[in-house]
Amino acid sequence: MNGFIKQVVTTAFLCICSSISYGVHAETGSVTSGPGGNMTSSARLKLRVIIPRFLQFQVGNAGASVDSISFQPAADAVGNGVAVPGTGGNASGGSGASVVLRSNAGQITIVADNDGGGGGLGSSGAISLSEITAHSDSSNLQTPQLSDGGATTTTATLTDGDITDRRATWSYAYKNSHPVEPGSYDAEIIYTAVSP
Amino acid sequence: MRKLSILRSVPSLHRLCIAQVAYPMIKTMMLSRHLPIRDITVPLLLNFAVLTCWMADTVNNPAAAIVVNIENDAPAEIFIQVGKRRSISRVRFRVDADDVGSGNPVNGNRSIDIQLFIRAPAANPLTGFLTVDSSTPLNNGSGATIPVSEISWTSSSGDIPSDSFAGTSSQQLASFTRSVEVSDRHTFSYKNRNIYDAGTYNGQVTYTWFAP
Repeated sequence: MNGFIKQVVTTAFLCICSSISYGVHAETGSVTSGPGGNMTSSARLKLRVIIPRFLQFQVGNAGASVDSISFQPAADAVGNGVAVPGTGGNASGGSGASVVLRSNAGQITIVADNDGGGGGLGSSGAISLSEITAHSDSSNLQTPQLSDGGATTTTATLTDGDITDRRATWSYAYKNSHPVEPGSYDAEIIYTAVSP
Repeated sequence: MRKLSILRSVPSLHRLCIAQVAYPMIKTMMLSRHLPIRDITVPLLLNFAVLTCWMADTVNNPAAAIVVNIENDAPAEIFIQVGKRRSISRVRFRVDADDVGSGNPVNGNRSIDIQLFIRAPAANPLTGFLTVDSSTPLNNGSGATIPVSEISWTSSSGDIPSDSFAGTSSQQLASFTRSVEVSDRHTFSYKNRNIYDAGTYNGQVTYTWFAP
């Protein structure tokens, strides 16, 4: 019995020595067969995709410059209550801004602030930012209404799970509700997209 | 008798090597009962000794010719290797935060060598088929998945042509109708067409090389 075990061990050792170049490992497969026999061998490959957490928000044109939309009532229509469309925007014939919101970071809230210090357009209190209407063409990506105090919000509709992939056009108009002193009244709206 | 015939058939240097070194060592091991005394052991060990001495002789006489006889009735054989020989290779795709789902393809961190061969007697030729199973999506361990069909590859030689994973269990990639050895290099790419949850998505595909 002891001799038999030695013979088995010796034979196995020799077989290993003589088959090193055709050894079957995890991702190497070698199969032999007699003529006509089926042969199957396989090898695996692992794949890994790394997706980071991200948030992309764009209002108007891409880039560092800030888009500008202007409202200019005709001299004979100042304060007559007829809304005045804008010019200069990149959508809706100049009255609007294209908006893109993409994220995988959960429910996104959009906040609208301004640089008027509570004084509205021109910071003087002459024209309130509530005189500017804002409208979205997508119910999934509503625009916050503008106010002198800022901090108005909307919530974007999630696309799937924690993912948001929405596009919209936000259009603006000047209500032209009452006459004001002639001049230029400026304000910058600061939109911020916030993830949890 | 087997021992004598083997010794007669090998060159003089081999005979000297076997007679002076290998055979006395084998005999001593057998007598000391470190090796079993069986008919099969002697020829096996002497074959091993011949091989060893031949290798030594080849090193010392590099100009010597080697004659290889290929038997016509050798068994058919297929072979496949994908990437590393001794472990499963991995291709990684890292998407930049400002590029997620942009549609800009993301190249894998390495290319993968794929080697195949199929050998069969001329009288009984075989056709080899290469298929891949990519039916199990990549997953991030939290329930989110990416279909493997979001990954494509380009072929360096065209033997295993450029394509995308189909996300199916048996996508045929190539077939060869004769004995052939194929060496190709695939460079993989993540299509990056959609937004997925943040995370590290792992998965695996299995290449099957078979001759029915």
